[in-house]
Amino acid sequence: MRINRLFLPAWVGVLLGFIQTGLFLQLAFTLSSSITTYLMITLCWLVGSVFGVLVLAQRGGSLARYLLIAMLAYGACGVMLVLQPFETRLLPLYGVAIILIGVYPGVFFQRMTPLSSARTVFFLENNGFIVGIIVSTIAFMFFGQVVLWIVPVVISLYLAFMTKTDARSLPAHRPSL
Amino acid sequence: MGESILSVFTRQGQTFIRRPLIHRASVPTLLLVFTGGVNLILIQWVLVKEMTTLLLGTELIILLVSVSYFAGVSVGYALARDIRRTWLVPLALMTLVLHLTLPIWFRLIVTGLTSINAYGAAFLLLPLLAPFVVSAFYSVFLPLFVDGGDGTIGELYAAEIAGSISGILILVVFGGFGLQTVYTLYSVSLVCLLFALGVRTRWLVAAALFSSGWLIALPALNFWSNTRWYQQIHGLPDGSQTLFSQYSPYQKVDVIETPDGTRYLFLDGLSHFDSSDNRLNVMMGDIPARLLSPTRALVLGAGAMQTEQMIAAHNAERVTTVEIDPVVVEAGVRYFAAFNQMDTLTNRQVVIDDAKHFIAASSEGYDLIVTDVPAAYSIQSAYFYSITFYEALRHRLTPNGIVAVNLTSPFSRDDPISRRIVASLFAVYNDVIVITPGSVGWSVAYAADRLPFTSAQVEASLRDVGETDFIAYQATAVRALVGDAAPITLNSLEIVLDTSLRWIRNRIED
Repeated sequence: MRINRLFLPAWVGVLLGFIQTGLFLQLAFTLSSSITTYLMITLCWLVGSVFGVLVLAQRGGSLARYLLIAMLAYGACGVMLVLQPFETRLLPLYGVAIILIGVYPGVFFQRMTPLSSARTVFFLENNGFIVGIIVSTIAFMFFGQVVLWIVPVVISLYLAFMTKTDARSLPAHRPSL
Repeated sequence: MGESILSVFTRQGQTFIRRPLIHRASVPTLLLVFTGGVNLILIQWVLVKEMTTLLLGTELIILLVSVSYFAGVSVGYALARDIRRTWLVPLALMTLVLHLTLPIWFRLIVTGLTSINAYGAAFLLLPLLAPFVVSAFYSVFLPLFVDGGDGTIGELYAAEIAGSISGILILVVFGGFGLQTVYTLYSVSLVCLLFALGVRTRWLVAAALFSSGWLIALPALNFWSNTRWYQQIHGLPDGSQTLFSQYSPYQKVDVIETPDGTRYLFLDGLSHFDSSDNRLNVMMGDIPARLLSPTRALVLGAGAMQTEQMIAAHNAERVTTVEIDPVVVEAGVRYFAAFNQMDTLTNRQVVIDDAKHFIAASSEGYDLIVTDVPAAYSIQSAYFYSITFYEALRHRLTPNGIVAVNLTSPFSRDDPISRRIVASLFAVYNDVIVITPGSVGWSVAYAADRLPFTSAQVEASLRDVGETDFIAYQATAVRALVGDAAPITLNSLEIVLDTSLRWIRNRIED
């Protein structure tokens, strides 16, 4: 369990790599591949991360809960694309959904750093992210959009299990004096 | 210094890691991390555009460039524990020099390798260099300061992200003004970083002076090195010059002119128009326009926009170009007016939009739709050869309307790419004629539910435009050659990988 917790950031990175690739590809294919789409994804993700690391990480709520919110938001993007393809008037809604997705990594980094050095957390997460973008891009070419759904769901279930069973190691809030 | 927090404690039997006393981050520390975030974005913009171009921009290269950049971030994280704070200033000064000069020396490296027939080494060398010289330095700050107790993860990570957001906004507002403007802002940011590091005034002045001098020389050096690269890679003659070079939000756009007046349009280092050879545009635009005399025509993808001129010359009521990249349109209007007559034709219009979004949102019908899009060497461009896209186009055709598609290779039983593209066409349209003109080398397909002309009429038109060496396949022959080739769908885009590998292999072997 300790070893699994050590590599938790790497798995989070893989998940985030898949989700980001999934957002870029699915929105580019079924909304628009203009620069506006890419800017929206990038900026909203970053805004969500800031909100997560500065505000929400200090509050209650397990990591699994924020992970669930992120996955539901990712799912909402997929549903909107199916129901209203190429509807760029929904950009604000996509933006809100991506902010909610971005919250999770922000909360995760804040919660992990009491347990491991920032260097280790960021190093593992970033390498996981690299693996995620490589595997998701190549897998997408061969198997299509289904991998952008199945793999993130499987990884998030694993992460939820890991953080739930090891909940005492990942406190819901930073202990205060 | 502010609030201090004890970092070693136990809670319910769990032990947390020992850290130095954590202080609230000081303003200089926050400024360091913030400017690091800004500069990571700005230099990423330069690196991605430049390296993608130098390695000829297929999907594999795009992925390789991204991986290379993020690998550098990992390198920075890994080295953070071993970096001494006294090293930060000399590293920052070195970074300033390396980054401001990056496009030049990257191009010269590739030019040099190509001159000794070692272009393939560039595919290894640049991705190995980039992590260490581009993204590693700025990635050191966050773990260095968090683990050193110089701030909480919340405030430092938020500062870095705020810097990244600012970097993106800088590119949105100022990116269109060109490399010199972006580099000016980059230099200002890095000088701020040096100030936050507590660098002595004389070094700040030296850095500012170096940056200023370099920025003044940059435009000339930029064009010179750009020309040298194109001469080496594409075999352009001595005396060629760069007329236009700009990073758009989507790609690098270059216009090169040779001493004999031939003009080339390159997108991410790949040729999209050669003014001395317009035969592909004749096949895509002039031939179908002769056969149809279209009232309304749509061309997806701008380039030099000569195809549109050829269609417009047949008295079309309106020829619409849809192009996602306004910089390509700007280059076409400014430097290829002799070929597109954008300044004189009144039956032309250009719409800046993503082609698939335009098709989905439009309700207009067209007699002729020309897909003048890049080959399927990236996921984005492969979309335009898929069943999904051809179905969307079908809804925009008038009853006698047709689609003209560049098959990007010679159509034959041995060519999987063109066969798969035609298979996609047959999944949507009943009638497909394919021509392979000897003057072009590549094949072009005309598709519709029922083509309003026969292959004999196509052959007659080919002779009318001076084409004497060609093959024209009727639908039955086309079907036979397509055989069991699988159509391209959004769930089977492995053609992108195949095309990417093939283009890289061809370039290395050339």
